[in-house]
Amino acid sequence: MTDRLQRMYSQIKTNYQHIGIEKFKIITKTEAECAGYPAILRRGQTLKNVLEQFPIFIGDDELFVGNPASKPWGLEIEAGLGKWSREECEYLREDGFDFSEEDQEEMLRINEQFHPFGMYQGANLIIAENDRLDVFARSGMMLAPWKKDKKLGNRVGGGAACSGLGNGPGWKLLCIDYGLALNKGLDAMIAECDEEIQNNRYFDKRSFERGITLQAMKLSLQGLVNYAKRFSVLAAEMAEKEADPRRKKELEEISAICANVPAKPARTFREAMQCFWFMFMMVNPAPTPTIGRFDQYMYPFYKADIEAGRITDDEVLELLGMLRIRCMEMNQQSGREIRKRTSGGARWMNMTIGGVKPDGSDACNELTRLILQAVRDVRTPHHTVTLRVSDSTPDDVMLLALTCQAEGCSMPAFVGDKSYIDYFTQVHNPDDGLPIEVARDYCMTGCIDGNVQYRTRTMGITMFVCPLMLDIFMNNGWDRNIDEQVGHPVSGDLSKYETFDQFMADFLPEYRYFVETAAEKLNIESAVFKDLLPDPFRAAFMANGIKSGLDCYAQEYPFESNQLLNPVGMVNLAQCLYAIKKLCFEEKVCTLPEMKKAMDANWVGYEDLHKRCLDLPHYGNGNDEADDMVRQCYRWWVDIANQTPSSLGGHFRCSAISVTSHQPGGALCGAMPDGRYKGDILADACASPMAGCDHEGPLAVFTSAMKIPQDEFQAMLLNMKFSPSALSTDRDKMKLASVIKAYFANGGKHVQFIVEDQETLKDAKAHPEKHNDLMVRVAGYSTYFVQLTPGLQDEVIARTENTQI
Amino acid sequence: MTDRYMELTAPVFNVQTYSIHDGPGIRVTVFVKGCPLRCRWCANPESNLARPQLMTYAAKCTACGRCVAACPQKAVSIGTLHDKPCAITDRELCVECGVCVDVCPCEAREIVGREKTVREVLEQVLKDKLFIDASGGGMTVSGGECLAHPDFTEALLYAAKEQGLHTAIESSSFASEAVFDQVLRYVDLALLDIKHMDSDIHRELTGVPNEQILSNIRHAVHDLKKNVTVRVPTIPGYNDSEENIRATARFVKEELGPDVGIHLLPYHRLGESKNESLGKVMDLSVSVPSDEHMQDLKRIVESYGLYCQIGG
Repeated sequence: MTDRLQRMYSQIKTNYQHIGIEKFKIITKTEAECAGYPAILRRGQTLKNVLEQFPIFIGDDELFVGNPASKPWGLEIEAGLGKWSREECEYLREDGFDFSEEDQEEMLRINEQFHPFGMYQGANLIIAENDRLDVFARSGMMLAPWKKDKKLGNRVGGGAACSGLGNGPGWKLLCIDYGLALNKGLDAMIAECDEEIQNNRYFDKRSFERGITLQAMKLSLQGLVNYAKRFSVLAAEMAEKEADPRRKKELEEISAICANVPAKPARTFREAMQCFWFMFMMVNPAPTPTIGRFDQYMYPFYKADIEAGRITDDEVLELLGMLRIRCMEMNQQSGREIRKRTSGGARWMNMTIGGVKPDGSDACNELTRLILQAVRDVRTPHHTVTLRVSDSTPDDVMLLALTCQAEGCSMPAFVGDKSYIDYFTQVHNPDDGLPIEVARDYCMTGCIDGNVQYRTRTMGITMFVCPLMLDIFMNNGWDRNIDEQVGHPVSGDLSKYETFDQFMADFLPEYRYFVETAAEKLNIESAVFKDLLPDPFRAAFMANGIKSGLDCYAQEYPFESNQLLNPVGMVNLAQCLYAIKKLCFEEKVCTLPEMKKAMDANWVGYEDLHKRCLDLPHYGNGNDEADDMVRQCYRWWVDIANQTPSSLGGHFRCSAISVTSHQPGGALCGAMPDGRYKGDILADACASPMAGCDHEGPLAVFTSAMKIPQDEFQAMLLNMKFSPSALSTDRDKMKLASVIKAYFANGGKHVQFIVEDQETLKDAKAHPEKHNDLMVRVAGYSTYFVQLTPGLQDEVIARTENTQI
Repeated sequence: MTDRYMELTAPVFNVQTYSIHDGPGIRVTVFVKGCPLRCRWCANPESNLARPQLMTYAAKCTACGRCVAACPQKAVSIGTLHDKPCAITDRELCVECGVCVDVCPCEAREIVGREKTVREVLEQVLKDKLFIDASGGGMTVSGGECLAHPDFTEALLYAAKEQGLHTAIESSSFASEAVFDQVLRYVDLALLDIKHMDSDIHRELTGVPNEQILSNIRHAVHDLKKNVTVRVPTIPGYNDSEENIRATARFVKEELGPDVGIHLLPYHRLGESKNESLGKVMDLSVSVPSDEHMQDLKRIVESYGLYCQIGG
């Protein structure tokens, strides 16, 4: 790290931030002025006003500028994500946040006149009136459990405070076309909007929507151009007063850069970095601000500058390191309850590198390597990096990536080009897929959810607690958590089932019913989002965005993956079914009613049966029978999703990540035949074995995971834990590299590693103060281990560690 | 090779997948049980005897008492180990019948070692064929001492080669030349230990002298024309003196040839906890060698113009 980066790194703040209301004031004022306007125009105007009025400043060491909050490392009260109560404001101060009483009073005053209509209220218009959906929503099978009474909006215990200048809340998985801003410039896009506005003819049913959306796009683009100009002026003013000649020169350069980008095409790597940062602030706040294939769209600028001698690799490395530090400025805090529960500030700023170019050749370049070097130099959990791996990914890149892992950087994650490309081309059903050269341009848009850069997008995703289906089914449709009938009363007297097939013949229709109902709920929410949360800025940067003149919710795309059904704990559900099949029907160790009694007793008094359950082969050991049940359960999931229509067009598709849902999901389930006790955490990640249930080494885990039909999923997460001893030499790393490539060549989609000694993790739990910078990978994001909830810390510790002597 | 070679058996205590330090690429390492040597630092003390043995894991034990109730010999009682309540097995009474293992709910007890056929082992090995092939790996037979089970080992190596696998053994080379010839027939790479160059000290440390060992290693290189790597388990205070390392390097260079490499395997403590699991106390007090020390030894070997690496 350079001295400059050291200074910036030491400023990183992940808690107790300043809370500002500058953005809130501008937004609420604009909303009031534009009351009654079409939502997209209102949100376009909001963006423009924020960009033109928000306080700006330039930090001492910054080489690219733009502040995502009104104070350094601060957060801004978010207008559209619930309201802050007086009580919660006081909690903020009690918990150490810097929130002035003056700002608090002003915000509360504004709140009295400000009545945002949120997702919860919108969806509840339908759900509250439909008993079937209402009881399903409250069961929590689709996380989080729907609450009947939520006066303050949809967030329990307070609103949100975020950094970033864009339209919140940004709940979408997509990657905008950064290349458009870099290569074409916003002035040209504004001119294109103008042209479309003038040429729009008002005949068809969408013409009005187009006319309005184009104006909103133009407002947001103009806003960002003006924002940059403000920085050009500010930097020039600061340069004049600056005594240090070196900084003076830097400020003059910043001024010149901001006079050019993003209005005009970027001419140098530095201009490209500045342009990227302006754009990136516009996709924040969001839990999933996507960076996309940075080593591809930035490479031409790098190459030209290196060839012309305008920049050195060390200077590029400093800029890339600075980007890592500045990404840490993008933060989010909520009310006290959520602050307590939030595990390590889950955020997914995913930068995708490597993989293949649209023509199929290897895409790795010098920038790919420098990005990995920056990961090693600047240890921050954000932004995260995902390395796309194809057969042709060079050994030195694999080695560098695994060196990052071995050094405890907890990134990059590895994803397999073949499985992702097979998903986007829909290799089993090409009529439903994209051409291969388009599919090859996919990137990570969430944790490991792929989307093709600016050509496909996902607007809704559900976290669905799979084992709860069986729990409710075995209780005759009764949900013991809310004490109500959620499913159909089909199982009745369990002694009636004479074979496993009979049992499944009753269970599978319930499986389908629950998944379909989750899809309905998501369809309702997405319909509400479509009306409430259009985003003219992102829409302008999607393929065909200005040409179509439509928002991302409204435009139809050649490949629709707009909504995803995401199972959590499928491995547990499969193991439960396998245990029932083996123990109740094949080996007849117990009857089904006895199994049910043991579940109801939370295994107390049924220790022998419990042991029989635990002793069964588990998924993750290469055992065909156990693995096959997992494969089958995922297969059913895919088939149901593909047959279920989406309210945004096309049909549902699947992803399989757990984020941190395996903890709250497990909390909803009773003791079950997979051997878990009531409320125990579920298997993480979706392709990972249940923690501690894999005994046959890492290759058996890969072998089991390859049996899942992964190319039908937009994401399929696999976590593995290695002790540093297994990655100590370059030889070791290259052996693991060959395994990763073999896994990806044979259907694997993703793998990420935690490389820490068990003892280190245990010590970090006991003595967090000694391990403040220990980073781990949870479910597609890196985070400080000490910020995880105790339950998740335990789960990470319990994962089987692969050692080597 | 007999027709029934697939049915030959040996006591096997581990088929370890993803072995990355036992030869090129990713290996499946087959550990046979039973060894004529008694190296004082042995990392796999459960491999000494050919018969199945009970191992207990205090860290996993919750002192629930189910084993106490189940033991037909009344050999188990609840006591204290490492400052926590724990099932303690009286090894004098225990007949290693395994009843306690069956009732243990927390996997704190295990019988290690079982007679396995070549067919059975091979099937297990082939589960990883995809990864073996992708990494340029293969199968390694280790132990215990594979030379102690020559018919089985020969058959297993033959069967692996039939499947197109690269084969290796990890061995003490302590056997008659005839047995050595038999086992090495289907070996692509022999990882052969030299624990000490001084035969008296060798006997003191391992229970056997080294003349036969050194002679077999020479024979493997010169007569059998095998690809050989010499391995030196580096045990501080026992065989890590500059003098011994120089003697080893000199032997390799002068009597085996400059193409034979040396792996210096730093001592690790895994054997210590395994001894506890077997109800034994390890008669050795030694610390793990420092990286600097290992690097020094590596430089000494390299000064003879030999390839040397630390670790397998």
